[in-house]
Amino acid sequence: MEDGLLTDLVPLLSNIEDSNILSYYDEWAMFPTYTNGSIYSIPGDVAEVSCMGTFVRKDWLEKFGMEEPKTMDEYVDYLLACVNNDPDGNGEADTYGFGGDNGDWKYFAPFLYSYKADVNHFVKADDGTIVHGSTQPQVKEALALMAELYQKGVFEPSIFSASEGETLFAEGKVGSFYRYLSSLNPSQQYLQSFYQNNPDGEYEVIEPIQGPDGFSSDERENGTGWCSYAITNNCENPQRVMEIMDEIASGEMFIMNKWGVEGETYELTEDGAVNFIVDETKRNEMGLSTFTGFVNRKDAYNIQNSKEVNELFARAAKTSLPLNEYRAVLGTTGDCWKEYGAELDKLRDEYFYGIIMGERPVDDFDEYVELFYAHGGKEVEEEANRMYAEQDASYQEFCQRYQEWFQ
Amino acid sequence: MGNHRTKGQKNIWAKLWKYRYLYLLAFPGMLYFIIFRYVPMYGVVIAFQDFRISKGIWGSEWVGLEQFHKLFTGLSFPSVFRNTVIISLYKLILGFPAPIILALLLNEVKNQRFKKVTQTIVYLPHFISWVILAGLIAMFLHPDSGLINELVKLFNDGKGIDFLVSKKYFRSILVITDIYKGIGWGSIVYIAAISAIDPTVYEAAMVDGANRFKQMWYITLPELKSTIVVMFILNMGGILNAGFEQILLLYNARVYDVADVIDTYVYRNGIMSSNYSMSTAAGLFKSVISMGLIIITNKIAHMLEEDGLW
Repeated sequence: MEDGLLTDLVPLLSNIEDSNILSYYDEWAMFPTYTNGSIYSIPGDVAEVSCMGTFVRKDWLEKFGMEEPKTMDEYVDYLLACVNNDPDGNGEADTYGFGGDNGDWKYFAPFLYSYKADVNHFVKADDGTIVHGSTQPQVKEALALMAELYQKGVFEPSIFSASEGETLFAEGKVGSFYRYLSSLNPSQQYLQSFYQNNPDGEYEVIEPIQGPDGFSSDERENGTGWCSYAITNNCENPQRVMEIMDEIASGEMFIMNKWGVEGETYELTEDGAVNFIVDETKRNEMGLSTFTGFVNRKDAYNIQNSKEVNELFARAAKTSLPLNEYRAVLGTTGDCWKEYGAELDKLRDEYFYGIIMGERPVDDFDEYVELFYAHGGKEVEEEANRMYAEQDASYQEFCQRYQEWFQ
Repeated sequence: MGNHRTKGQKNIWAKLWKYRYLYLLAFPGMLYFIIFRYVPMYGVVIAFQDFRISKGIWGSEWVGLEQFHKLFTGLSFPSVFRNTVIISLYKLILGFPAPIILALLLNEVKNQRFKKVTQTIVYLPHFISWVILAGLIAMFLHPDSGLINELVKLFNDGKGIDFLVSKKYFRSILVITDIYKGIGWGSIVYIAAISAIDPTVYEAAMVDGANRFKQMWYITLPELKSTIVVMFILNMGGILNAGFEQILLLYNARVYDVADVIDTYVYRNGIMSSNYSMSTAAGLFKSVISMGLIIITNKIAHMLEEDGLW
């Protein structure tokens, strides 16, 4: 843009009536493309604002005579029952309460988020300043609970090394997961193997567990794209290109592009999800699903999801709002974080896993906070505050202009 | 004086001409080292800069030894350095003799068919990349369903051990898997050296009444001595290479304490966070130490009246 290689898209977009692109993306999704006071690119693929949920076994709940867990106490009761009550009825203690996937902190969401503990992001403290979520006192409470549950054998043993979430999900020996909602799509291979292994089994996604202070939230994505598309200055008719791009962004075109025509290339199953009726070679010849990176829609037009899953996505968009309020999303990585971040993450992981696995007392959390601030945490937070303020001002400015441009 | 020099120069050219075909053969190899090993060396200057990709090597700011200062004062550098040396030493002490012993054992095998089959089988792991091997290791060590843990359960009240998150076992796993992967390949050079030993020496020893073990002790091992010394010097140079790929693929946050080495530290702090200058500084630091170790070990080899590397 600085070298004048890309075309300013604002005039082109404002010439289009009822733009599909603008109706699909909100201001926040478009904001990262705001450069030099204008828009030079269109986000390509923006994930659903919330894609994950708390999975429990509906059949096990019935077996235990329990209701859907809502509070942390009820949830813990359920997890303990999964370990101790032999829900698969084979007389062996081979079932677990909670399973993970490759060790990322977000897979522990039911324990962390219900305590308003967000250990992987910057968050807004009560006084409005930006602080790192891992240093907040409620994290200590969450860790204490997890350490207790670890002692009681709630966690599936491989949860802290390389656990294979999909395999565990398919085996059906674990009572609860925090997983991607699309796991419930009937076309999912591992869901099918789960039904084979457990003919009477059934997973369901419950609303996020309420913590002791009544807080609850699902995981929230940052709502911005990982790639974006621009028009270069070599283009002879940029307006026409913009029109074509906008046409591609329409829901009907998206379905056509990705799955083709109903009855000819795909059909909808009972669950409302798409099922191809032509084979892959034929699909490649027709060019189906080859170019879907531009405005990859995640709304009702995403017929890959069953109706049930699309409803779950809609619900999660609401149940993840509390975290959205609490978390301070920074669009870029600051220099201080680049310098100290890796070491601070390591420090956090060492202490937190140590506490959960009982290698350290829970009070070591205070030591962690001290070390965090002594080794770059202070600089990192100062930078985050600065960046957040700048970003906020820039966003306000963008929203105002956005209104003017596309009124 | 001048006369002497021209004579010397003439000699060199005459020699070069005389061995021209040998030099021609060596040329592609030398070219490889010049292009891929010597030319890129100018890049180490970024270790003394605050390197930014946008500014390039000559546009970035010079910061002297600041990157080294940052590296050495890093929060976990002491433990990282300790881990590097400990893991390397374990691998050197336990892993270095392993191929020698294997070579000696294979040398004593009389059944040629058995020997060949064994050799092939022990070479194989060398050709499997760490990515695949790490996956296999994780499967074998899986706390619930892994083969090893099925055995452990028999002796441990039915409870498996999660080896890969255990600070107690992690380094042993590194050393054992490293030996498993490298032992066959490492033994090739020794087997070759053994096959070069003159058989008449053994015959003479047999006539003198030496049994197999004595032959091994008094003939094979002394004959292998210079090979062992050279291999040892080369291994010393790599002492700060504790095995980046292996550790990166096997470790996790739970064992940072015992497993985080310089390379993985640099990978996370340097490459992943695009602090290229810091990674380069760490690389340079490692090279300097390695160079020093090679020189010292070579000196010692000379003192022990061995050939050494040069």
